[in-house]
Amino acid sequence: MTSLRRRLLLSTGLAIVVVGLGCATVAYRLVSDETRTLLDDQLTQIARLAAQTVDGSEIPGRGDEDIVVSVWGSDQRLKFSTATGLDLPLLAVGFTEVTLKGEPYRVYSTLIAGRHIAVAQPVDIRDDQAEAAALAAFVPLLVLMPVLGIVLALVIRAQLNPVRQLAAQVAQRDPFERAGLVASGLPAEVAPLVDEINRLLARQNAAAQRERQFVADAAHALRTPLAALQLQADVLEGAANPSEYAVRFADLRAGIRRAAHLSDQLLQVARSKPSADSERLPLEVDRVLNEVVDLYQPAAAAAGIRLHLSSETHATVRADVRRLLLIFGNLVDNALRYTPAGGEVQLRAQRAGDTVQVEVQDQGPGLSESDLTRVFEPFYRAAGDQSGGSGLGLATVDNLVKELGGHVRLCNRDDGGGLLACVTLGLSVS
Amino acid sequence: MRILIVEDDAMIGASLVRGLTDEGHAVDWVRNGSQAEAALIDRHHEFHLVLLDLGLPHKTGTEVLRHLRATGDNVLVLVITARDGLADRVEGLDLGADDFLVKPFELAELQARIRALARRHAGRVEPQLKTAALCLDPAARCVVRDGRRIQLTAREFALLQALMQRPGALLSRAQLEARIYSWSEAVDSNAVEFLLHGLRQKIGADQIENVRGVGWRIVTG
Repeated sequence: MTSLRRRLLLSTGLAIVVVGLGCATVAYRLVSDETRTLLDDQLTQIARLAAQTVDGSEIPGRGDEDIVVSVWGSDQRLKFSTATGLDLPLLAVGFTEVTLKGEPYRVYSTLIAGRHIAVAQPVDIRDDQAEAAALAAFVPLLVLMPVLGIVLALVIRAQLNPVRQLAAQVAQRDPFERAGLVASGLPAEVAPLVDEINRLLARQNAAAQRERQFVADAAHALRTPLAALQLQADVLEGAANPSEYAVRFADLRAGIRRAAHLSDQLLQVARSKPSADSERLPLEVDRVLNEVVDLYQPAAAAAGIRLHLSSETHATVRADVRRLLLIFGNLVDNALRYTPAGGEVQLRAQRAGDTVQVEVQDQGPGLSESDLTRVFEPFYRAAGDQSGGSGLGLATVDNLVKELGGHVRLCNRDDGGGLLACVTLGLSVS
Repeated sequence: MRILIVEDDAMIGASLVRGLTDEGHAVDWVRNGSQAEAALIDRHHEFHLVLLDLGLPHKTGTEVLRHLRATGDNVLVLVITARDGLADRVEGLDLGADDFLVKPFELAELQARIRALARRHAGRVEPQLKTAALCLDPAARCVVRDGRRIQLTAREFALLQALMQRPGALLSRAQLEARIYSWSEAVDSNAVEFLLHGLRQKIGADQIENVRGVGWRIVTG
């Protein structure tokens, strides 16, 4: 992972060095050229002054080794020269570089009022002056570069401070903390990220809250069957005779079955939560329903209820078989619980557009309107329910069907003959 | 003791009826709040104790209890519930419950609490019921006369306990019937006399006095 601060520092630092060096170089060149031009101007002015003097005595810097002035008459005879022993040659008008006594000179020659004037200056001196001037412009820029770098580093650090504080905030967070992250003072670019994290945290909190509630509800739901078991075991001792004992023992077994059923249902709910392990395959609905009927046929027979599948659709859905068996198994289990002996539980499947609808009909007492809306809540049981159910079966069905992208609906049969559960699933596209 | 069980769970209800009947109590069982209120109004003062589940259909146990106390009925109420929160307990007791038992519980604990409630209700401190000659121990379910242990049936025990609950007080045949039979039992008109006859033979005829046309009482001195 790369640090944003380091990247910003590196990139801006590099930019400062490149631009700074560029500027310094250009400034160096410009100032040095400018200086040379100024020196040239100085030579032309001296030449103009020399034209007005007789013997060159008024020439500024006379006797100065740096500037040598020679003046010739119209007869091309040297009238005077400021340097002794240094003979300037007669040159063409304009600037020329010549070497005199092994030293390079820049010479300005001109013709004024018939006089030939030459002004010379050593190139070394010119170079020294140009360089000094250029350096005076170049050095401050070089010094400013690290200063700018330090300032930028501080600015970047200050600007990224809220992000660092955010990281500290996240690091110190209690896993069960409800409050979201505080986004104040964050740059607009980071704030949306924090908002999204907060939304995620809220969703996770809600999910954790639901899980905690479920565990609490589960523990609570276990109390009733456990209380029954405790009492059923306690009253065994009090049986007056073997037949009484047998009756009480049978009740205890029924109590154990009920507790076992509840724990099965709890496991089902836990497994019906979305997970990655489900592999969806195209499945024939008819085959799955036949399997459900086979599975529950013994229980139905024991309760004196006719359980049958009354249609064929040849419909295929994409699902994993375990989940489909759980969905329809739970619905059939419910139907059997509420249908009286001698009654009938019917499974029926039909296509509707690009969906398949599976109906489970029972001949039980049906449900009140208020119960119809609430029976999908975990642990909810209709008032006065004596079925011994856990209140989890329909919650499991609802979870599983939703996960498969379908929906489940409950209604009382129009003919008043019991409850109708209808599961709608999308057909598999082959 | 005559006990009304208000419990919607079939298995728990059935076992409570069995366990308490085994102990010699006369037990009736209703499954929802409305039935409980009906039973308590119709058979006013017949019950000594109500075992009340709070999570009831139609009318919650809390509502039943509130209504019961509002009408001035001071029948003993032992709340049995799956809710164990402190707030639930406090609310139950504040509403006038005499005791509170959280599911699951053992039958023995329930029986001990029922005995303790009955004892407190009668204003006694010691668990045994005593007259000059007799000593009845509700917990041990035994009766001792002059240091000799007497074997009684559950029904006879319940009858003697009813008489000894308030020594010297006269109890009519109807009152005794109400204390030892639940309403689901078909009671012969002379069942109480029959039981009393058997009881007198075992503990001594002189221990129970009959006031003709009024009822019976235990001889205290």
